[in-house]
Amino acid sequence: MNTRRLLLSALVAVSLAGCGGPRAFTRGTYEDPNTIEMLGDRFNENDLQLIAKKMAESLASSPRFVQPPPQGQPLPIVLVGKLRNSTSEHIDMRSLADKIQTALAQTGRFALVDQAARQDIAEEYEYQQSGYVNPNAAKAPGQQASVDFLMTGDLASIIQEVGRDKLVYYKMTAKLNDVRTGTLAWTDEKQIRKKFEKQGVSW
Amino acid sequence: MSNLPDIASQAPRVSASPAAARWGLLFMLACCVLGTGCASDYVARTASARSAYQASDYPRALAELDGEQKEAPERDQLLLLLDKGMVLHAAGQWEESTKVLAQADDLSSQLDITSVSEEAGVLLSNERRRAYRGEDFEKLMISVLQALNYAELGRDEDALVEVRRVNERLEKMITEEKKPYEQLAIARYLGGVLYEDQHEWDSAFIDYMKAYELEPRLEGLVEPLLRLAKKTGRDDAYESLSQKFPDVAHDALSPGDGQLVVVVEAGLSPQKERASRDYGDSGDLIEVPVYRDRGGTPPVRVSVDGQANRAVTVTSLSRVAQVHLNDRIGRMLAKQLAGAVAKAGVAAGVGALTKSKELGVLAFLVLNAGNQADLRSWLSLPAEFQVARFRLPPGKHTVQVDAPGRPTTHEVEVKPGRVEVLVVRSY
Repeated sequence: MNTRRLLLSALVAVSLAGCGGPRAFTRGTYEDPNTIEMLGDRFNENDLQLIAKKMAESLASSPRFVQPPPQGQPLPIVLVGKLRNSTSEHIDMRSLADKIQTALAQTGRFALVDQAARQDIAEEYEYQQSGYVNPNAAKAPGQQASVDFLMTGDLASIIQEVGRDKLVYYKMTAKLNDVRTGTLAWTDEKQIRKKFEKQGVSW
Repeated sequence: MSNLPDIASQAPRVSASPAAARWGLLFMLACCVLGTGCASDYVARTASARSAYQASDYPRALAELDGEQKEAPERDQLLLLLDKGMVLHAAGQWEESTKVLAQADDLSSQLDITSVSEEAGVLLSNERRRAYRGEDFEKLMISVLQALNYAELGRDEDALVEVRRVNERLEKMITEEKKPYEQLAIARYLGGVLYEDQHEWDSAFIDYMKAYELEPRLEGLVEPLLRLAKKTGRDDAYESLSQKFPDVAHDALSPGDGQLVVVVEAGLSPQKERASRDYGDSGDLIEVPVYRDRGGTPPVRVSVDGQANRAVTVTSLSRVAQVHLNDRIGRMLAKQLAGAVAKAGVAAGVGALTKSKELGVLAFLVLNAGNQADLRSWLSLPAEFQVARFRLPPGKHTVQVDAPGRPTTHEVEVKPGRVEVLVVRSY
């Protein structure tokens, strides 16, 4: 490289350095939400789907629930309760609970009660009793179904970083508690292990 | 129009003399190096915002920082977010602070990647040209402040996530990156408080114990350690702690008892200064910063319902900052040396191009004149995290925080069986 070029390169490098900082994303396309993309090393929507699918399938195929109730008998009523986040990431546990609730409903083996809707339902009772609604058709408090089973859970993680490799391990444990007896009707876990190679240098 | 070429051919030819070309080249080089580096630095530009912040005039501090955000170069964005997050935190705008600090955290992760073009530019200019990435302890402080924000918001699970993040990051720095750091006592202590609030006694004891091991001066805060050692059946630990602290009362909490933990963020974090004593304009060949304390940290007393306790220092950032910067000095010196070599190479190029040894030397002096230590740092951080704790009956209480010249009062509601956290900024 001749001297002139060397000097020019140096000046260009100095000018470029003034633009040091993060780059913004400016273009985007729609993607299939079922496609597995690992763009980052954080808990992602695919992990959410894997956990919900495993829990719903495991529960629906467990000995106690594998057979649908006899004709005329009600479906077991399940409330997906508190799922704890014991990881070192901010994870939307309400979203995970909703995903599990949806997957359970889709098995057709359970009737679900939505904890988050209770306040709205209470307000709806008040409205229906206010006189605006046909009194013969208006619903009133006192007839809600009693929950048979309460689902709880805990999501834990272990993160290991060695050199440029990062290993992330998640373990979701879910439990179904029989509300009448307080006994454990079912429990299972889903493990997810992911490996990432960290980028250390960019232009 | 046809006579244009003729006119052009008749026009006097402007041909630069070789001497003018040489000086022009040198002038360009000086403009390029100095011009880009001479924009006033972040610390100077935000002095007014900082003075408003230290006077507890948070609306003005935020307005000044918002104004700065529109003008500031990208390389200072992280500092702006950090300062803004801290001001919002001090102002008690916990929710807003979590959002801004989360942005700072994301940006900090993005900036962790080394940019080749940026490094090349820095070699020929100075460290101030680099996007500010934050010292290691500053990155950890994001999570500490977030944990306090979430604790104030009553989002204990999120607060614990941040505490775990601090501990994990430090563990990685110590074991994987072989850095001479130790865990942060304030993060471990806060973890103890949050676990105790959730009635996870074992985890709470482990974190309190770790905080105590890291900072043995926490004698005033040893009560929960004794109480939980007894409660969790850790006989050996209880025996040893009882012998060491025979006078510390640690009766079991009754179901109606609540607790209050007051976290005082006291004083001003240390500031970076040039290590050399020559404060002239010309740059030294090697320029590295050092941390200097900004005054002493005032003693703070906290009183509730007639009980008065002196707040105990759990973590001193002055000490932590020094350790973290010292670890980086070696790498900083190596980079500066590489920069000096690169500048010498460019100067030699100028000398060869212009066939003038003198201009080569002058080019080196011009390039080196831009060499300045990077004195940017997160100046709105406190110098210390201090803690005072109380056992209180449930209900509303008035907390008096007495820092010299600036007493403040705060209302808190204590719930039975729970540990309430109150965060107070004191300057």
